[in-house]
Amino acid sequence: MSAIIFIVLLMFNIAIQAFLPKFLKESEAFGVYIPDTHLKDPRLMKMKNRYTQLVLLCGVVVLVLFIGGVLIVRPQEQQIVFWGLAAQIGALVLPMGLYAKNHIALANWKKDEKWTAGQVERKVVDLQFREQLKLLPNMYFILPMLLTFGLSVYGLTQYDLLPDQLPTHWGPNGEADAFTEKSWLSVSSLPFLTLVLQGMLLFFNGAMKQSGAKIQVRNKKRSREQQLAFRKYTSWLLFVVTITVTLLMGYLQLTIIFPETMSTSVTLASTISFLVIILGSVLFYAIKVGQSGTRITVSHPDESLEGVIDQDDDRYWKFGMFYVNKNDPSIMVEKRFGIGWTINFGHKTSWISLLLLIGSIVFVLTLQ
Amino acid sequence: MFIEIEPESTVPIYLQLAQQIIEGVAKGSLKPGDSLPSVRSFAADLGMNMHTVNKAYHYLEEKEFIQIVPKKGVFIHEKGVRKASASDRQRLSKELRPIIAEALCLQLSQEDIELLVKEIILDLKEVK
Repeated sequence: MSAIIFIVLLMFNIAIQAFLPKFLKESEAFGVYIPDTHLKDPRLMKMKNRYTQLVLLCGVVVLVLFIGGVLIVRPQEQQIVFWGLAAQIGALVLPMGLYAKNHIALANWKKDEKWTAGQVERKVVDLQFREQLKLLPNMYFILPMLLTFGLSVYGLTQYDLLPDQLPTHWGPNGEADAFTEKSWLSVSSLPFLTLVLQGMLLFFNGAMKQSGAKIQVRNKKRSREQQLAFRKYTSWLLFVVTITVTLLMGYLQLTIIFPETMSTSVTLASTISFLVIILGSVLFYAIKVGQSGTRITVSHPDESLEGVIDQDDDRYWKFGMFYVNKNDPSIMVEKRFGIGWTINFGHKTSWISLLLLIGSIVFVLTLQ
Repeated sequence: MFIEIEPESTVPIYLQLAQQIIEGVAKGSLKPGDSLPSVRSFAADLGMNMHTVNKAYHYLEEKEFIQIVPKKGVFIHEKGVRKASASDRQRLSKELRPIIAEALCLQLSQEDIELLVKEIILDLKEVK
């Protein structure tokens, strides 16, 4: 069973990584800003195609090795999990190396051939952007937190009735396979982690409101519509994640409180549906919306502006991956290579929230 | 309404911001009472320092083009479009003076200058 889950995850992972350059907006390739004049550079097209081919090839090799290993050796569940994780990491590291190689090559071409020389850089702001932004209200994210909080309080009131051994890990077949001694802390650790996760999603939704809109100078109306849609869909995706996480964690919390009444098949079913809903929403998000909403069709023609390009902000993107800009008050910014968001490492709040998140996870893990 | 900034230009960025907002009011794309983004979101959209936006907003506030209402937001001043007072007139004259002087240095005749002014007014009043 866990082998199948790993195979599905691996295939999902490899496909997303391999076809990533095709999902991204044309103006950014391998983390480098490409001015309009060089969008159709044949070297660039070749680079993207080669990336897809190589990642697919490596992915297939990893997949075959994993499936072959499982079929031939027939290892135990524990070992499958270990192999599966190793395969996942392998399928992650290879494309990263390839990305780095391409990023450096592209950045060098751009610098040596002076792609942006002689062009006027312009930054566009839409004064009414926030008024038109339709994000889900923070209430939608606070209510699930109240539910988790309520369940945790309920769990604590039932403390005396709980068994001495509490499950902390559930195997892929839905059966609890790891336990811990009952204590006030171990009873609250699951809801605590859920609250941290829910808090993070709430924070994302709030930070997105403040995040700067990147409107392209050559197609202002179209990129504005796409940015608005991208943010709206992101807000909905965050909501779906919050709800599914709340339900799954809430269910697991209930199995701790009432170990006899919950059957393993229900646990299995809820875990699988959790996975399907999350992967499905992410896939929908990637295919329907795309990076910065570039896959959303908007019928606004491009404007022909000679000699004017968007501002080249490569210097704020370390390695094309990490955004560091002390002046920008945005905490979250849209990713360059990938669909989604990253944080502004030049902002104090980003570091504090990152530390809080890691700190609270480490706190729970060490105390268990 | 879109605002376009050229970060490499010799005109300071805060002035570019302020001038384009005033132009928006003149053209009618920004009406008295319309709201403007908060300093933080404006700076985020620009990817620039909040001081830049603050400076532009203070410049506009001084000229009574915008109104900053604490905790409510930033709005185009109710008196953004108004009859010029004596002091408004005096200020404009002072600001125009160096430009007219430059035009005279460039040997533009009075007619040339008047024509230039007419062209600019026509462009600003053009309904798009």
